[in-house]
Amino acid sequence: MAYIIFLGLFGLVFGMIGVASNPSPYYAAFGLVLGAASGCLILSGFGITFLSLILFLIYLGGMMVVFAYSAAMAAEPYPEAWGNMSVVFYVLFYCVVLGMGLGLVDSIDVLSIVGEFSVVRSDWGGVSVLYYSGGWLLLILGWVLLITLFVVLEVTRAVKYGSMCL
Amino acid sequence: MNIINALNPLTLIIPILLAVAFLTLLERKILGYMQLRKGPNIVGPTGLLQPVADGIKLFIKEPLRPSSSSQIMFLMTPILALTLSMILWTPMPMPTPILDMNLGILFLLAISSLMVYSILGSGWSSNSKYALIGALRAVAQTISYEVTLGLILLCTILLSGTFTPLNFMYTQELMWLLLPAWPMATMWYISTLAETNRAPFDLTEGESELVSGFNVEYAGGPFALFFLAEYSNILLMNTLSTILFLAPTINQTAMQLTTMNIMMKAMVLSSLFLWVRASYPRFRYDQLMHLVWKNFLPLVLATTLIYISFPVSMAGLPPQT
Repeated sequence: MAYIIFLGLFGLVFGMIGVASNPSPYYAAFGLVLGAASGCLILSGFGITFLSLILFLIYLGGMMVVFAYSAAMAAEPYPEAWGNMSVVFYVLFYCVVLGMGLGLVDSIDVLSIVGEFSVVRSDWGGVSVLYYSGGWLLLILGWVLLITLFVVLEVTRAVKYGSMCL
Repeated sequence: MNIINALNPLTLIIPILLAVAFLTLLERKILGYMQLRKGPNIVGPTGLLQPVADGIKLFIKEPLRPSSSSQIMFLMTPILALTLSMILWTPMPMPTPILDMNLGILFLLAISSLMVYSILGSGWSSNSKYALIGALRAVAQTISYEVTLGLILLCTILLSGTFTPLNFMYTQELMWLLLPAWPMATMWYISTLAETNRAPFDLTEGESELVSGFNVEYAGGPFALFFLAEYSNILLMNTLSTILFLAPTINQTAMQLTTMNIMMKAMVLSSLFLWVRASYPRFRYDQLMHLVWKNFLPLVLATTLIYISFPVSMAGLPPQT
């Protein structure tokens, strides 16, 4: 089972690199699909099967389909896959960044002591520790999401009087 | 022992593929007799060997690979389609599933929602306008009807209490769920017609509009894989409808009788699919979307609330574990 989780983690990282390395939207959608699927694999490997299946259903079966759908409609005369030079450059760059990140994280202890007596395993409780010691980050992220909502509303509102005037 | 384990999936796959082969024959026969002709009757006794001949013909044909297509994806998507449709059968209780899991229904939903990727991928990688537009229409239709299917499943799950498919048989020992949930059952049946791209909702492969839709560019083996996946999905959906709404009581002393019971009901439902195909004209695309988003979805949302609140208010909650 440890190997399956390992596989999932690999898929997650490579999926994220695949998206972040800026290929054409069709291929980026593939990277996202890979990342989402391996994320669900990790969850089910940890024994969180219900959440894993729900995420699989909602994320892969619902949201990603719509994204792939709209990406498929976008025509691009010279689509760039992971073989093109600009994309390869990004892939290498992110691999280097990840390697450096690994070097930073590798020596950190799994257990972190919070407050006086509470000990949190940072691999499991990492997210909660992040927000415990960085509560302002949570606030900023929430603010970013709110702004995103308004951006989306504004973009879709432009249908009325923008270039796509109906 | 290992060899037996490896053979285990084959004992599921081979009967399914055989059933699919004879379903195609049955379809052509029923369509034939409904149109006052005979259907295939030359190869073998009453045309029984026709599916074999068709299969051999399809697989020895040259598989086309258009030079402007995205080759790897073009060949991977039919394989994906057939693989998924075979995986879909594994949690199916007939009455002993090959993969016995607690969240079987959820697993079914999750895997069947992946089927759209094979459609979208095949349409896109063909690099042809007909295939792409056919795929887009198919995907839009499939994901729209998946919403209703999921909610209807939720209603039945609320009545049976778990996500375990086998549990539906114990729920329906006293009464088929078809009776207390008949509005759900009718909507479920129509939605499965649309989900499997059958007539009258088969506008993804409507010859007059889209020259057979997302698989125009496919020939030979890959086309056969799509074909098998599609028909296996039809059988699967009907088996699932049987288990959800018409499940037999498990006969513990003679399990094979339960299997025969399920399969006979699934066969009747599949024949109804064929009858529907012979009788109804194709829907217009906007009417299809209107049906699901403006009729089925509000109705299902309202009834989901009813099915949540009724068992609670009538003190008839299903066992929760």
